[in-house]
Amino acid sequence: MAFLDIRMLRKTYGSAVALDGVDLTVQAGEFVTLLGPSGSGKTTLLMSIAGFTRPDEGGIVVDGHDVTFMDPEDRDFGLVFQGYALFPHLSVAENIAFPLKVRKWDKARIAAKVEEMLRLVDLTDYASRKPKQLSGGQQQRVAIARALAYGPRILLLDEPLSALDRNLRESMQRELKRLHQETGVTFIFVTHDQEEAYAMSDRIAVFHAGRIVQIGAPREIYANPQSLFVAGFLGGNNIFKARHAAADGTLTFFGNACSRPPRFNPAVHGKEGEVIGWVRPEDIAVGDPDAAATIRFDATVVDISFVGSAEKLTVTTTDGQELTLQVPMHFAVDIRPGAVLRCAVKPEAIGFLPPDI
Amino acid sequence: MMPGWILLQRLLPRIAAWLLLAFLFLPILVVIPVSLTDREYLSLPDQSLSLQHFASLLNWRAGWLPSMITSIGIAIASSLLATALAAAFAIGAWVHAGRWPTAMRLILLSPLIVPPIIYAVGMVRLWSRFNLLDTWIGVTLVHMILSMPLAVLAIGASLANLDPRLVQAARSLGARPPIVFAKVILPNILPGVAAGAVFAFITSWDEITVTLFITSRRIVTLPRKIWTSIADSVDPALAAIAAVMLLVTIVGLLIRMLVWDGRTPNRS
Repeated sequence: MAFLDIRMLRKTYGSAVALDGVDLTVQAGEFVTLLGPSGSGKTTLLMSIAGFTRPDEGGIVVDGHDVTFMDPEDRDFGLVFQGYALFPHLSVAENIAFPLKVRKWDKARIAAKVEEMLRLVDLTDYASRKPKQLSGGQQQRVAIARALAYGPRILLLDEPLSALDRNLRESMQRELKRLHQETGVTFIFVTHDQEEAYAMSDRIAVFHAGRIVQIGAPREIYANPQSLFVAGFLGGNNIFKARHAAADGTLTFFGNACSRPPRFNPAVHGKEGEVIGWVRPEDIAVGDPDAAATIRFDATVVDISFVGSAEKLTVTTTDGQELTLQVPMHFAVDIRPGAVLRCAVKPEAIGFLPPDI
Repeated sequence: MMPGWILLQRLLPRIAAWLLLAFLFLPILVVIPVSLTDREYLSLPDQSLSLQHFASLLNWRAGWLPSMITSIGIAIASSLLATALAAAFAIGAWVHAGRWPTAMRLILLSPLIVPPIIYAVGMVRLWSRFNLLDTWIGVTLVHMILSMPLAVLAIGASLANLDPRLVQAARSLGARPPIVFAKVILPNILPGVAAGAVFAFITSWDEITVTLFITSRRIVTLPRKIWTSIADSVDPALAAIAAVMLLVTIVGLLIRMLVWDGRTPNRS
């Protein structure tokens, strides 16, 4: 039986549905990310697990005990916020000691635990500082140490890295991953940033309109989006339309007809007429001379923008669909808007989606 | 020619500011010479300076001392009640932000908006029905209501700088509401609570309009005593009491400035 078992959770605010029947099971020690755009219900679910939001229907079971209506202070779950929520009048050490004093630990035990937590988040030299005297990343580490100090069963993290700048965010991701491995606590992490989700999670639950629309390991979700929403939300995907002619078993897109790509299944993706496909920008090659088994097409450059590691090209195909693709910097030197490029894509890189529900 | 013009341009605002300050402050200072008059009516000293009017303040039968005690008692009681209620409301509104707290806030702040005389008429009717006219409880409750707005504003202002998520953070760490209040909220809003209490005390201390309507013989607050003694006589003791109040106010302000300014460097 799963450690955390959420069943058919529903929560409405007036006519707005925040959670529309969410099921989720999490194993002990797992790192699960709730990923979705704002307003998709991921924070409502986190707050229901924390005990600050009462669901209208459904239940939350932890380790065999129903906690759906238990007070948050009895749950023993750590909670970390985007805004840190450190107690401004207490020092770093006093902040970490707070949950231990509330639990009436004796002084020596508190001192030892605070010392241990400070070492865990590498803030031993900052014990007597006030939160305001720390940087954002340091404050967030204090918040995590405080939430982990009393040995919670689950650590809930509500967009804890969104307020940090990019470099700091990446080092905090590694830090969180390390803390997760060292403590063995179950982490439930909310974010709208997919890269953050990929970098840390064992599994990702993608939220859309109050539901979990897909759940799985990061690579699996990236490689196999199962709906238009997930395909569009993850990784700047190219979504395009194709025509399926059942009579001769061909798909027509980007101005040429080809036989059915391996991932196309007429029963699922559309028996006849218009179907929806997707292809990742990195899977479209430009001017690739070799590889026999590729689908080739011409596209006109509309826009070029530099994204740091590569040049991002926006092109239009001969059937009027817009695509994004990435080429190495040196390659783009001669390319100007209006240029016609010969593009190629491997059939197995093209995915298809069921007609949108 | 230019330097003179520039000098004037720079000096003029300063002179204007000092004149305005003098205009505000000098009329207050006039009570000091008047309180030292050697005559039996309100006037500037004639032959010599005299402390007789200060002495008469201490005379119990003259009524100044009892009314001062009454005023202090009512001010302490009403400001404590007002501060406690204002803190309770402000914290509640801070935790549960929404439409109802905003509406409630408007009602609580209404004594600032409604003219006191209108309030007075209403209170006379209400208090006569509850038999609270001319009683300690009646006056204390009215003063409490009148001093709530400033206390709510002062406490609300210090809560505005506090992250409401602190409550959720503390609760998730295992703290029950009483501990959240005592160990998390209160330490962070103490300056606001203290300021609110001082405002509430001052509001009660010099409240006259409503007090005149709801008291008669039993409860005589200091402002009421001043009011009646102006009406029946021009006793220079008035100037003496004004001088004492001025002194107390200045000392209070100095203490406040010293305590607050001494604390700021540690707090940042």
